[in-house]
Amino acid sequence: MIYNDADVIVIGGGIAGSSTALSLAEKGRTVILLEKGRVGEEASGRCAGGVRQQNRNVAELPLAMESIKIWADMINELEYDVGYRRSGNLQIAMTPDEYTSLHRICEREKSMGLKVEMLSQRDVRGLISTIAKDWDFAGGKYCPTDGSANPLLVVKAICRMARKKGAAIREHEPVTGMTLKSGQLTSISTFDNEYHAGAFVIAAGPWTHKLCNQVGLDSPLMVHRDQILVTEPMQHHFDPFIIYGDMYMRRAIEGNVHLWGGHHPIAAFDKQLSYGAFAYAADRIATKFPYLKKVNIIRGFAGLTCYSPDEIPILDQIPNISNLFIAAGFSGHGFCLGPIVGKLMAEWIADGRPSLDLSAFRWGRNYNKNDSDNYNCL
Amino acid sequence: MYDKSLAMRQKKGFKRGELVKIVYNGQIISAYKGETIATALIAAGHLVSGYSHSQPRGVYCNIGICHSCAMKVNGIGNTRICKTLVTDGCQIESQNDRLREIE
Repeated sequence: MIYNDADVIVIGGGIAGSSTALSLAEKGRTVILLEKGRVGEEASGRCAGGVRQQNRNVAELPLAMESIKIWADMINELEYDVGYRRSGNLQIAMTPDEYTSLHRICEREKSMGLKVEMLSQRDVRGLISTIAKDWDFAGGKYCPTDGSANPLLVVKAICRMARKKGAAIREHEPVTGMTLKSGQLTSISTFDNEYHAGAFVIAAGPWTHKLCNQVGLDSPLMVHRDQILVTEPMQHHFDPFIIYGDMYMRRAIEGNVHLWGGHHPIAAFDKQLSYGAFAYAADRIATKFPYLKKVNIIRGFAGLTCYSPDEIPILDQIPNISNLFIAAGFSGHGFCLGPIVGKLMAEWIADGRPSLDLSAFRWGRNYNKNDSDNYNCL
Repeated sequence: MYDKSLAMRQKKGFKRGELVKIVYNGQIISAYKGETIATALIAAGHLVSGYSHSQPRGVYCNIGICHSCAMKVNGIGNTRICKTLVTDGCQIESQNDRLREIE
């Protein structure tokens, strides 16, 4: 017999949704996670895998710093090595102006307790010897406690542990309808089943907007597409996750280098690779890292990310529908935040309030970007 | 002169390119222009192209898909020998892992 009633139903099997399900199961709640496809195969499995604290929005930094503590112990918690390594995160400042603004952010982050340092061009070249000789950049900003993990493994491992703790993970169950009764969400239906619960969480990334429409909510969320190129495995030549401008690169444990392959907003949910964007990205990266010119690109993939207008997530209880919670709009940098968001959402639902202040992530906030110092990159 | 590395080929009915020498792990092998390196090595009796994860690898799909036959050709690693034609004097070396060297 299939039990379709639970304390909480989580819609969306990405890193935020699966972490929420795991945390709720650990708190002894019955929880069902519904995923339209397979868990961890959208943005959470199609990202660069950076686990980064530096250069975040001020409101996000405390969450990221708490999340890092969960990441550090993940290998024991999940009884699985998801490839999390603290190999550092390096932001290259291309111009003196960018260096100045990074320096300001560096001071602020230091005052908030993050270990970060500014590097000169020589220091950066010491960390990464393969940068083009003729590229005269201003310097860099380095956070040694940042790192990366393998996106293909993380969500699968979280769901495996959630199942072990009693959560039901239902794959291939797209939500088709939601029923509201006197300001409460009472049930949701899929093609085959109807589910009842006391509380619901929508953590469906790019599909959140559509789900919100079903209960008469209009979300400000937009969909962007990111592409990543993967090179053949290479000998060890750098450790940190490198970011400069809108580009990034990371060397996976197996030796393949994952490269930024283009990013743009889209209207349709299209995961087809754009080879034009691909070639453009590869060309741009090769001007700064010329050794990559001779290296083979063995594959690439595109993923959909969910953007909010001010590029920080929405983590809130919907004002008019008191048993509906939303965790979405991570704007391309939710991979690191996933575990803490799961923990906070679980606390909110089970204990009545989250242990960290989430007031900056309200549903009904003013979405205008006004603070230019809230540096936010991928 | 009898050349062992050419013995496997059909003698009659084929029009071949000119004779070239290729260097496989320091050993000189004869081949004809227009052949792939994979053809030349198999004809000379060398079935193992290299090792990965300590397992011997060789030509498997022979159409450039599987990457099983990857070798170092003229200094460029991870080259598929089934898709690369012989040139006179080209240097072919086995790889013991698939990690591309940094230039």
